Amino acid sequence: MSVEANINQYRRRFLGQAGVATAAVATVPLTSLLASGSAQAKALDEPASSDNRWGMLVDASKCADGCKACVDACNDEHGLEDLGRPETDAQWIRKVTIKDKATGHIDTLPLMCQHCETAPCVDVCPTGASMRRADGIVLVDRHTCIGCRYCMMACPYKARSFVHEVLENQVTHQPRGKGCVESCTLCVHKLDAGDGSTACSEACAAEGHHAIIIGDLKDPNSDISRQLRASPTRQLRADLGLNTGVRYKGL
Amino acid sequence: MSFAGSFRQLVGGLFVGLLLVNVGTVLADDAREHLIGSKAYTEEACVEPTADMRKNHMEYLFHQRDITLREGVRTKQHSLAECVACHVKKDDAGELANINGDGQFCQSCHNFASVSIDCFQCHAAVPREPKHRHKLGTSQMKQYHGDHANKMTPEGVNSSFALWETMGEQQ
Amino acid sequence: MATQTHYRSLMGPSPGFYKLMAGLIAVIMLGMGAAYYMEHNGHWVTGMTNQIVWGMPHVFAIFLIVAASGALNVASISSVFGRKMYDPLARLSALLAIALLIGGLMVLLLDLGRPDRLIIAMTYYNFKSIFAWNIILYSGFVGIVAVYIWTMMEHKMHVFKKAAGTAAFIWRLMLTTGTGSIFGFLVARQGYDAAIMAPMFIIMSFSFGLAIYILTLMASFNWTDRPLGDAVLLRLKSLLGVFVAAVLYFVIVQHVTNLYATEHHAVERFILVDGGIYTFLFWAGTILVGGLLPLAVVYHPTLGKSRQWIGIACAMVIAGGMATIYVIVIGGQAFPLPIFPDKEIIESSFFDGVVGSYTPSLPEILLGIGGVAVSAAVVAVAAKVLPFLPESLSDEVVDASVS
Repeated sequence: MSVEANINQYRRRFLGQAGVATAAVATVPLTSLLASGSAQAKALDEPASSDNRWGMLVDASKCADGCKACVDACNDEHGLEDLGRPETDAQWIRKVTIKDKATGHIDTLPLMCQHCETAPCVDVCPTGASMRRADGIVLVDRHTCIGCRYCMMACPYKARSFVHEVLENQVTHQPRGKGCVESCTLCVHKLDAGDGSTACSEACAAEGHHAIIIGDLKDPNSDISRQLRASPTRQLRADLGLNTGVRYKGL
Repeated sequence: MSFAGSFRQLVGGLFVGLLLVNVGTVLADDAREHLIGSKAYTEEACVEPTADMRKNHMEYLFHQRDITLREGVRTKQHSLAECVACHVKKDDAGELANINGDGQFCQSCHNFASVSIDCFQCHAAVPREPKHRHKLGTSQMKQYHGDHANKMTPEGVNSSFALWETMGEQQ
Repeated sequence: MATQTHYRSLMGPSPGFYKLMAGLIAVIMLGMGAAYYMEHNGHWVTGMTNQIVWGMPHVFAIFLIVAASGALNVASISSVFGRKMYDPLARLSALLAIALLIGGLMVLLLDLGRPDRLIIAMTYYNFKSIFAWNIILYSGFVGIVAVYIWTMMEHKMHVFKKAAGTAAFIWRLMLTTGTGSIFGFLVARQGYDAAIMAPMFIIMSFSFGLAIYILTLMASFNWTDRPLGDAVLLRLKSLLGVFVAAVLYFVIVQHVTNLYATEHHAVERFILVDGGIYTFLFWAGTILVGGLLPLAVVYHPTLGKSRQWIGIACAMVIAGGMATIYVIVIGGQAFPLPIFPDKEIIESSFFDGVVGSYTPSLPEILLGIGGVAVSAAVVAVAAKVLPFLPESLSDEVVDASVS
């Protein structure tokens, strides 16, 4: 206990200094990894804070037709298996191809939980299992989910899946099981570990597309904030006023 | 404290009373014998005094699950993943055995006390990482997980955890 | 001078009763087996999917719950609105209300992904959730109606009858408002998002509940050889006619108001014109079998006086009601979500932009029918051991009690 407390104390001190250092050099152009990573890493015992809001920026113009590296990475990261039953198999992220009704312009893009600020799934959940973390990540607490699926009825993005069968071979960092509802966690385990990115974003970058950016929307110096300021983006179903944490560019 | 919490405490308390008496006699000869083969055997102590863990481990786990999931606190002392990593053993075929399997760490006591465990319907019953994590291609992944990530051996898993910890401290 | 109504439980050995119970228990066991099968394997063995997340169990459950609050109407007319003629009918009305609610709740509960977590549903509340409100409304309904029955049965409690009846009436209005609001506030889905859902569910409850009440009354009096006069029955069937017409009115208003907004034309076209099974069930089920045909029977000069035809009209209202709930619950989900209103979805691995397909599976249907059997068994057992049924509702007895 005391050893860990010391380590955490050390971490906080170090983080504090790192923060000062980052602030001092904020005017100097840094690589995006350092700029976003150091500001967002938190100590193990530090709870998520409403000073941050995790978000995602998807650039549809960079998303390649036929590529589903993000989907594969997500499935692998969270242990989602293809059981050959597409109607009941869980999909946390999916590729959708859309055509403009008026112009015929075709876009392809990844679609997942939009991590709404005023999330309908959180409103309707009878037990409070559907919840939003202080830093904006919408999650399902499987310990209190009773599997009523009302959240799936309420979600405007069809972002949620119900686990329709007994599961084995779950990965350690992503518990999931029969009878509960689940959806994109924004790789909360990676963000809490200080990775500063998600499996889908990393896979997209590894393919050289860089269509998915993760970052802190409340940090004006984060890569995502700067990009959101620089060019027009949109929320899906903006008419519902949900203030989504996922924004789309180039649609 | 919610009603469910008090209910759990009451039921838990009744069982623990029974359990302590019996486990005491069962484990009197060599209380650590059942740990042989797991990392726990090589450790001097559990994360809390053994008697306390026997009585209150679920309270620690319930508390941890709520602060981890809802608040994002990722301390490891009372984390279920750490329990599994430390107490898991190999079976006769040399594979890691599910910790809630017959005769394994959780089940040996829970069977005896007739208390069913709900944890492993969702939680991994052996340490398990994504199959292709090292293929994701980021330098970070390669550097810290390397080839350890997909090795399903206690050594591989532990070294992987150790690397993960180093990674945390470096931040 | 009003005379005392005599009530009597089903006394003495009765082979018919035990045959009925044996049949009901067999159906309940089938339903339980179906629930176990679904829970053991997971929901992939049902027709429900990630597209159609609520299926046949929800159609049965919502129908039974809606009908439950409606079944209480007869009692409310007696206690709240002081119609003497309905006094002897009130006990059965309250009993039926509790029984239908228990049956519906059982189906809903056994379809949960984690029915073993009932204790969590009862102890963790998110008060923003209409669903959580409904859990309170349903349990409260059973409690309040039970007290209401007590005030009717216990002589010393008669003074509280009107108060308890009024409380139950207000509570049942809230309950059905809550049930309708489960759908009314789902802004994500164009098939639901309408405030009219709440009052429409109330008026549907009047109609479905009364139809089930009339059938139960006729069956129980017939099977126990108690006289049932035309005065009561014809009064009830005329009331049913009014309720059926009111449901039709609300259904028309719902669709016409929806058609006012161009953005809803697609979903309306889906239900009314080219939605396949949903279009068929809407016109043949809701409008014809559940609406026009029973209206014609009830107001027909000769058929409207035939007990057999009154029974058929009630059965038609029930069948049409099930079709209505099916179109609302399943049809509302089958119509694709408008995630990209100005775009056409040409490819998706998750069935975006296409009509969801759903085929009810046998276990789902067995679970639903099991719920109906639970309701019937509750009524049968309660009427067996407690004085719920009047000895007679012959015209002379009714006249004497009213005058």
